[in-house]
Amino acid sequence: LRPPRNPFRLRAAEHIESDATFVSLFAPGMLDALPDDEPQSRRLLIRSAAGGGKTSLLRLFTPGPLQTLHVLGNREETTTELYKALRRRQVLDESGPTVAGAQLSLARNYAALDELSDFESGQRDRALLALLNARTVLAALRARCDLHSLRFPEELSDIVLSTPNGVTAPAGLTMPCSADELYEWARALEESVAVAIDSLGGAAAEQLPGDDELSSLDLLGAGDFEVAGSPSPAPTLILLDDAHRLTQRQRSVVVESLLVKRGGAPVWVAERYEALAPEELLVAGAREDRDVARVDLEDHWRGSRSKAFQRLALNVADRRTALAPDSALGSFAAAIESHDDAAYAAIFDEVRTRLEQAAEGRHEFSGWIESQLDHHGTARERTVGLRTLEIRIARELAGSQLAFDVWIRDEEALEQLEKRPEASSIRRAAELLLARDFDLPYYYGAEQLTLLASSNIDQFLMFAGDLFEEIAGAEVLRQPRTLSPMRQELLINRAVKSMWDRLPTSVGYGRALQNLLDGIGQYAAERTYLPNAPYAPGVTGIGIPLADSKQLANARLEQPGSWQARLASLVSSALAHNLLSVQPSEAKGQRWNVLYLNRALCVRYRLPLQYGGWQPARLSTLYEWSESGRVRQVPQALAL
Amino acid sequence: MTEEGRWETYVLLRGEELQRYWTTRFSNGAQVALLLGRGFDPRMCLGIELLRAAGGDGAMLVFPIDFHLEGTTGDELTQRLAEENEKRFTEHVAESTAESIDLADPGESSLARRAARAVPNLERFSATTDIVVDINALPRPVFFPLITKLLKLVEAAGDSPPNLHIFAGDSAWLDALIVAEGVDETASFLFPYSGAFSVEATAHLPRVWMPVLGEGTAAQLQRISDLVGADEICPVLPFPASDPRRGDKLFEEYRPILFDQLRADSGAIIFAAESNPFQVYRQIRQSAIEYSRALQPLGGCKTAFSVLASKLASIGVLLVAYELADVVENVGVADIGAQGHRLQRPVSLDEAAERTELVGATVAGESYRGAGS
Repeated sequence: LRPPRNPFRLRAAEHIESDATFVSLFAPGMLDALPDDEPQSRRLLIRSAAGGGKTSLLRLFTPGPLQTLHVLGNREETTTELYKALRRRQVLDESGPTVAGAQLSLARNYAALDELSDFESGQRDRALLALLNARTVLAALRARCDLHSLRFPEELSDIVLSTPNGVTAPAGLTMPCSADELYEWARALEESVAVAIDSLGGAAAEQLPGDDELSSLDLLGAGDFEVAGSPSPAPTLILLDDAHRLTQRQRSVVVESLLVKRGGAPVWVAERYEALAPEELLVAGAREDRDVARVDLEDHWRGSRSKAFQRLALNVADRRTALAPDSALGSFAAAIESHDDAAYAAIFDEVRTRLEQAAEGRHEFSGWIESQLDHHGTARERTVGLRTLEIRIARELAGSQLAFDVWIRDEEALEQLEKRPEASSIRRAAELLLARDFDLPYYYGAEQLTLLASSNIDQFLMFAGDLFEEIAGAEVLRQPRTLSPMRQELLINRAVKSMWDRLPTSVGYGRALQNLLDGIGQYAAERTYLPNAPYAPGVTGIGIPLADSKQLANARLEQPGSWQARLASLVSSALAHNLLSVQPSEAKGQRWNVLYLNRALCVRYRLPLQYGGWQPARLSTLYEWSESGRVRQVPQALAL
Repeated sequence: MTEEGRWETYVLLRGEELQRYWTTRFSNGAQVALLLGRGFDPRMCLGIELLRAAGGDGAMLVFPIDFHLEGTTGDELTQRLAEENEKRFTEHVAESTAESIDLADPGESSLARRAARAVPNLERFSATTDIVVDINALPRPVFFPLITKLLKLVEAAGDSPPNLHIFAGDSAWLDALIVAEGVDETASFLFPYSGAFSVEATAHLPRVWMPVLGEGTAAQLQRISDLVGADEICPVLPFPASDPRRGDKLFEEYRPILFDQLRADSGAIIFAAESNPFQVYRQIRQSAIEYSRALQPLGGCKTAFSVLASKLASIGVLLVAYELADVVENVGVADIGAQGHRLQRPVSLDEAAERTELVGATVAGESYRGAGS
């Protein structure tokens, strides 16, 4: 297969055919999201928005990628780190994979079973369990074949599954039996269900098999595999993907019972946030009180792990870059770094003049200004320093006690202020204000690019892919392989606009959602661009009191048809698609849920990409925004 | 599998030719059952207008199909068009007999299953010589199962079954103006072409996907591709087309998804005539058979079809799926719904009528008697 023209466009684990390509693109940092203690032997629920990396995580634990890593070992630079990480986690040992991951998508036809209204719901549930039993067994057999490089299903006769007495077998299956017989049983059961599902005249009762429990897990957990007469000790790990594709009722039957079931083979279940009910989505922390290990991928990377996500994303970018044909780029970040110092040198004098005007000739500030002007550094550092000081002075002037206080504002005092925790936030606010005031690029460079991802790998690949397209084009034309900050920002603006324009089509309630996001974004911009930057580096979220969040979460059940219920649907949709993310906070003696904008949307309103700044809002205000939208002027940078 | 397809030779009439055909049919005593959808599509009444103009009054039973897509919404323009359609429809059926088919009660069954159940047998059409399904205002989840069921019933009807015709408007410009809003999160296989493709026991077989492309459906294409998980993708582009560059434009529009992301091979593109559903049928069928043969050493393949283009193209895909599902296993039609649709600019019923050529495809009946299957 020819190398991909733009490897950043390769998405989703299922679209990367070769296991060797897959493992070379898999960034080992992704494993940090898993629990430390042998996750392969426990029940695990993995959630994210689309593109968060769930399917890739599951695929890594299947025999193909594990065998490939075992063969490559330490010999390939691109896979050594991943190989070592899996050895540390005891997923690989000297002889090869220690686990046989059996990946199974729940997207295939289960939901159609719930449409067979000729049958009682109990019978449909039994059919669901029977079908899942059969498919789990098939997936496990296929995984065992892959583990031993046997052709599936032709060479199943080499495999035997023996079980101790007392293990319950799925309905219709008599143990012990050969792998061939297992396959035939499962195939016939599936065929029967397929005929029932496609029956134009209504399915006959005898076409619909049934089972009372997920006994395939007991079978696979307690059973011992032998391949060609030798033990195959690697335990089966069931990897169920796409649980959000089940109907709500099926999900509660299957997923919940899977996760609480004692004994049997270990199971991982992966699903998108859209599977969750509003009460789970809308109230931060509501998903943490269960006794099953859970990984919420986007949540995992936020907060204290944001730097780890940056490293992960750039590692992913470097791996993709290396896959490009004839790419001479060593590092993706190197092609998109570099500040335009000349642009800052050009505005230095004007920024200085504005600072002096802002100080209103007050002698109290002359020490600070002189000290800042004496500061050494690049033009960018010095200019940002002046603008930072302008914010400080605006804050001082806003304080009514200035005329009477005795605080001496000398160089030492300024240094003390610069050491405070909020100093970096003020500096970031200064960078943002300078960019706005002088039409300078702000969204560029590796750090900003990873922040734009909003902790979602697919979103990162979307932006990075657009930048790479341009870099690859420059290579072809033998032009410099670096993108100027101005060009980076232009491409990012275009990608954000495209993402925004797609919302009505690609997301439920898309137009109302656009109105709501517009309202939040504009309000945040108003609060961010106040002269003294009181919420430095800026406001990027809306806080809702916890009590209001709970009201919203229950609105669809308790107040169906109400405006609160409609708002709950909108906000749930936004959370499921990672357009908003919810984080708990405490302020003014109250507990809040803060709805932060997706970082890519911050670009639309020229907001900073850091989390932390938020302002309270009423539910009724959010609803008004969603209904009518606010009178809005599109920032000039977006008028493409 | 026969070399020659069931609809290799076909009956396809359009515009004035179609009208002359029906004038002759009615003058020869034809009794028609017309099934059509009630909706916003400005082409909704073109079929009934043509049949009335051909002398169908008094020889026509009309079965308006009321469907309600769960959770769907429409904007002001589509609602207004639906009202205008309804008004015009009421004017037309005043002189005919109308008997509504109600699919609006959701119950637990899907719309597609309700559509198939709406015609359990041909009893209600016992006095008719011709059944016409006008799909202009019908969504795929309704007309795919409905026509499939009618084809099965007509096949089983014995010596003198009614003729089965499908009407659709040929207006690529209007198809391009209608865009989906709030596309469903996930695609699914369309009833009754779903069961076989999803069988896990054959999950190891290569998967071939043939999406018929139309404008502005990137989100749909992406989500259907997630469902199918194809190993081989054969995009179907319109050629010949009213705009000779339409195929090139579609290629450009979908290059990032199909060729960069999903790594389709540009050599696998299928070209099929924009205005001829039987050409679509012929081209897709031939490719599907060739893939099935070529992949026989691996145990065969699974083939999925999708239509992201006009209703006319949908007819071609429906016929391929119907024929191949009967003779080979592992065929599916992958589709995706939406919360609603929107017209990108206002279109009046008169403009739609002026710029649309109504096409009639006869798919079963005396014209095909004796043809191989």
